[in-house]
Amino acid sequence: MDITPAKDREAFFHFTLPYLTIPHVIVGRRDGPHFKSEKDLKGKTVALERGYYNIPYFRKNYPEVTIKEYNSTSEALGAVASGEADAYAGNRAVATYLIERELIPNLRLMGRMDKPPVVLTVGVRKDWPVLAKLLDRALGAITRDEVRGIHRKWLEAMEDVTTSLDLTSEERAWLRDHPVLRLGYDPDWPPVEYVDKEGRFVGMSADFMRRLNTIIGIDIKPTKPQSWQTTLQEMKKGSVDILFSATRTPQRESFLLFSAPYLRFPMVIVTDQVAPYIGDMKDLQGKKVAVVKGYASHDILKNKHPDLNLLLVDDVTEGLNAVVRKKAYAFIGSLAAISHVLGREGISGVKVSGETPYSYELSVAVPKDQPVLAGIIQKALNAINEEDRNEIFKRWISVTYERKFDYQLLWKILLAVILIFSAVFYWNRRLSREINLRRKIEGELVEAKEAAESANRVKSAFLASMSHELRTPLNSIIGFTGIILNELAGPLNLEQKKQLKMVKGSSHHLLNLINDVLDISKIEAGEVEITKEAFSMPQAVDQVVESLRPLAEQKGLSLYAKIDPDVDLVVSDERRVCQILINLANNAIKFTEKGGVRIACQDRETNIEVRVTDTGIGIRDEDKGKLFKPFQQLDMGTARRYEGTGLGLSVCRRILDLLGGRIWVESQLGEGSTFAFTLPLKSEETNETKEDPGC
Amino acid sequence: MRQKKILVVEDNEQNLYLITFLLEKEQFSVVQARNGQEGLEMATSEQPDLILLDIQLPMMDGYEVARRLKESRDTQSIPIVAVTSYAMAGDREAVLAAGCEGYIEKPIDPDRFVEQVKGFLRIKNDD
Repeated sequence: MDITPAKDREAFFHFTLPYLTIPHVIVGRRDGPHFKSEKDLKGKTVALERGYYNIPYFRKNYPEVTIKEYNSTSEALGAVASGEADAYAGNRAVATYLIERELIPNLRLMGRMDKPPVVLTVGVRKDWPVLAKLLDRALGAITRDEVRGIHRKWLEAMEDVTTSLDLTSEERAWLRDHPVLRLGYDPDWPPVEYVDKEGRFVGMSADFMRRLNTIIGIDIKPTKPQSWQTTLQEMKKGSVDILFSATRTPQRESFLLFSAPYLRFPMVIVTDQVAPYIGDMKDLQGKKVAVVKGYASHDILKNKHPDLNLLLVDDVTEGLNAVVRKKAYAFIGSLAAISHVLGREGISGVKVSGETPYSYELSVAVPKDQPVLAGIIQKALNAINEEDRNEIFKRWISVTYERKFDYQLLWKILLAVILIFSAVFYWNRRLSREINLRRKIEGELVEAKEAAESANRVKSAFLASMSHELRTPLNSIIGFTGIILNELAGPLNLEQKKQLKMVKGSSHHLLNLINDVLDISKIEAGEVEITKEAFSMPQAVDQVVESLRPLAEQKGLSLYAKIDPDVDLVVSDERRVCQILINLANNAIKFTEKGGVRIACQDRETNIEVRVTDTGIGIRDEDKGKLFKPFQQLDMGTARRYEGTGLGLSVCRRILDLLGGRIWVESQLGEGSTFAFTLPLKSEETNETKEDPGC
Repeated sequence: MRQKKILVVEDNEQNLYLITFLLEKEQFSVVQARNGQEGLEMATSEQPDLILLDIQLPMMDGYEVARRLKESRDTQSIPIVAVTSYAMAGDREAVLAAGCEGYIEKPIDPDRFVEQVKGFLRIKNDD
């Protein structure tokens, strides 16, 4: 049916009108000579199909060509591949189809034959002219679109190539002068381009290289593997002619020409597992960021983020390891390459923490002084149809993604297992450490407790002893001072009396000091025992007032108590209540120069409130908080410091804590103060009162 | 009124002298003991109206002296007033538990001391 009309064939056939025109091409071996046209075949052996029109064509036009006849196109192509013949000439579509189907990789389409393209018609036996007419009519009924559809289905791949790779004569000349191009590549940038375990150059670039070799009819050969940085330098020196996977950067534009980008890869940020999500490049400020030296990422980061602390590494593997080994906080690179290397190297403990606003836009690059080559490459790239291109991408990227997925799943599972194991391990270790620690602490606690108890006993003994040892001489000092002052041992002159009064005052001050220190120590040691008994509050207050009256009178101050008639029995520690009352009243007298001190006592239903009010110097607001803390006698801002330990109010507060009451101050500077405290009122009535309040 | 006799058990010479001086100025008759054992003997032999007992004594302490005084038929009716510095919690209760009728805190207040003593004598007299 598909038959090319020829004079000799016309003897047997009626030919329909041509339904398809296909050029004839020359196919040769990749490693063999390049046949641009049929003229180049002179002196060569050409494999042709027996009975095909090409045999008489060659015989007639190129008698210098040795013709070998084969039964089929397939056999003819096989002969070329095996070296039996130098070339095959024939229908391009068939040749392409067979080369691809039968995977004859060392064959390559070369030049086009000068002879007119094959015109296929339907041949009909000459004695059946009616059929020929019918067929003509039928063929004529096939629309142009339908014809195009059929073309596309069966023949399009090659159709596109030759029709769109429309090289200028200058370009053809350039190609003639440069039959071989040296391809520079990155040996460790999977899946784009890398050297596999067997040392082969593989990846997307390798596929493109093969495709371009076929399309352009050129020999692009990979150079020996060297780092990308070196590759770029070689490119500058002119010892590399072409790069398939270069990203345009301003630096590189100074010495390279770039094709339009054919693929984009996002540039991502990889960190260790614990790093937080990185939403902004600013998050990396001041951090050490690894980047492959000479990569587009390096140029971009250097230009756009000069503030980053870059750690330059030789390849992706080293960059990822830098993160694992904490030499860098992050690594920035292509997602595809990173996932590939992670899988290949079995690197774990890193994660993609964020995306940069940048991407690797892959282009083919040639030296700046080779614009002709750049033009050819761009044409060739355009000539690779979308399907082919996608297939290459799919093959490598899907490998990556598949692998990435597989590995990721594997890694995820492994990671989970490792995490669980390490968590268990960690917890076990932590637990055992904790147990050990606890045991140790328990031991220490027991020791500490014993030490504390022992220290406490020592302290108690010390306090008892100190109390005794200090009080015994004080007993003598206070006692004899009193005896002499009372002139029990004989009369005194005024000067002697005045001086002895000073001794008396000082010895009492010393005694108070000892008592307060002892009180605080005892309270802090929890050694103060509160004895709650019912006692008469009015009686206790009166006692205190009477005991302090001499002191108040000495200063010319009034001192009186105003006790509500409701106030009567209180269940508390009488001695401690008296101690508090004396302390407060004593303070009031001490800090008052004019006026007086009043003690008020009121029944507040749930408690008894006792208020000691003076007309003294008052207290600043900012000082009020300090009042009830130990050793905080306030600096009154005057030359005068008041006698006292500074412990009294602190003791009062602590005692009131123990008694279930509270103490506070109401005061304004210069307008006197009121110290008030409460005692809880117990509902339980007891008749037991003490004769002597002991205050 | 018959002159009251007071036994002072006190190991510190100065305090013994101080208390004796104050009491004798008020016309009390004072007998002295410088340790617990001596105190027990003097209490029995002298039959004082009141015993002022220091608690922190060498050898036999004041608590023991008080217990023994209260155990003995000869001395159990004599009121005992502890004269002591209440250093530690519980001292006060311990003093009363040992049989003392009362206590006077050390250091004594020379202005009030004799009045305090007279107070304990009155309680005794009221019985």
